[in-house]
Amino acid sequence: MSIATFGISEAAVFLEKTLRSIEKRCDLAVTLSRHEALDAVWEAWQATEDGWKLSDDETAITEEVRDTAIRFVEALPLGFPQPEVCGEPDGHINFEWYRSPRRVISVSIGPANRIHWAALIGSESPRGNVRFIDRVPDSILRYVAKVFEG
Amino acid sequence: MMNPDRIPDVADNELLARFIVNSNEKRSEGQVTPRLFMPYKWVELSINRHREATLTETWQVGFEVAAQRNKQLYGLANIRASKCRIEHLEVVPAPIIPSNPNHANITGYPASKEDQMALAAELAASIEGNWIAAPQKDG
Repeated sequence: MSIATFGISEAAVFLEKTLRSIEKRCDLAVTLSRHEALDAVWEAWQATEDGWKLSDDETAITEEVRDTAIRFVEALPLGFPQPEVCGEPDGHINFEWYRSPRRVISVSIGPANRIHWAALIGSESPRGNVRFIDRVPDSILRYVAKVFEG
Repeated sequence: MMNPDRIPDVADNELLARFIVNSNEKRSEGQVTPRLFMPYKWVELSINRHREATLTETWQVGFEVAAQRNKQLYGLANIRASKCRIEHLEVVPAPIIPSNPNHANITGYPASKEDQMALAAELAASIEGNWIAAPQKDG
């Protein structure tokens, strides 16, 4: 199944080829239902909705962060491995793709559509932060693919 | 436990314990998640030195830490001090007198979240053996 529809410029063709290649490599990984990830986002938000459940050094997840996390899951290409999801003490929602201790990438969704991410692939530890609009950044997709390749 | 009047620097070969008080900090196959080493809200992270402490004393500290935070103690993960000394991270004694002279901090975490996450992933990948489940509490 096609993961996206693109224009016909050279750049668009190149991008589609790249994403198809990523998708193909990810076929080797366990692919879970997107609904599970979406349910986990709701659960993470609900778990912090009641302030009394939080300890003094924890922050509740806002509806804004929850909604950004939902859009993030929905923006993952079809067929992509779905992440493990959990709330973080600073009120962010964390997505993690894990294969082994040195094959892992974490993505943290915070307020104002801000995404912080870090991967560990062998001894390589790329990281970054970016504003999420409506597409999962290609760098994140590439490193998720690297977690599962080989 | 250490003599509170003579707290030595943390040697590279010292084994340190990080207590697991959230279920999402451990994995079923014995590894831990990077979340165990995230320093929220500060730029340092509490850790406990095994040096001159019995395992019973270390677990006792773990139970007290969990109780103070109204959490459950799931277990602990061990890591060598040398494995913590990466990038700008340092391990320094931070004795809590009189209750826990073996307390130490991993200091020097950067302020940016993605840098903290990258370091936390490296530390999680560097634990010694599998995480160890907490013993049943007496009484």
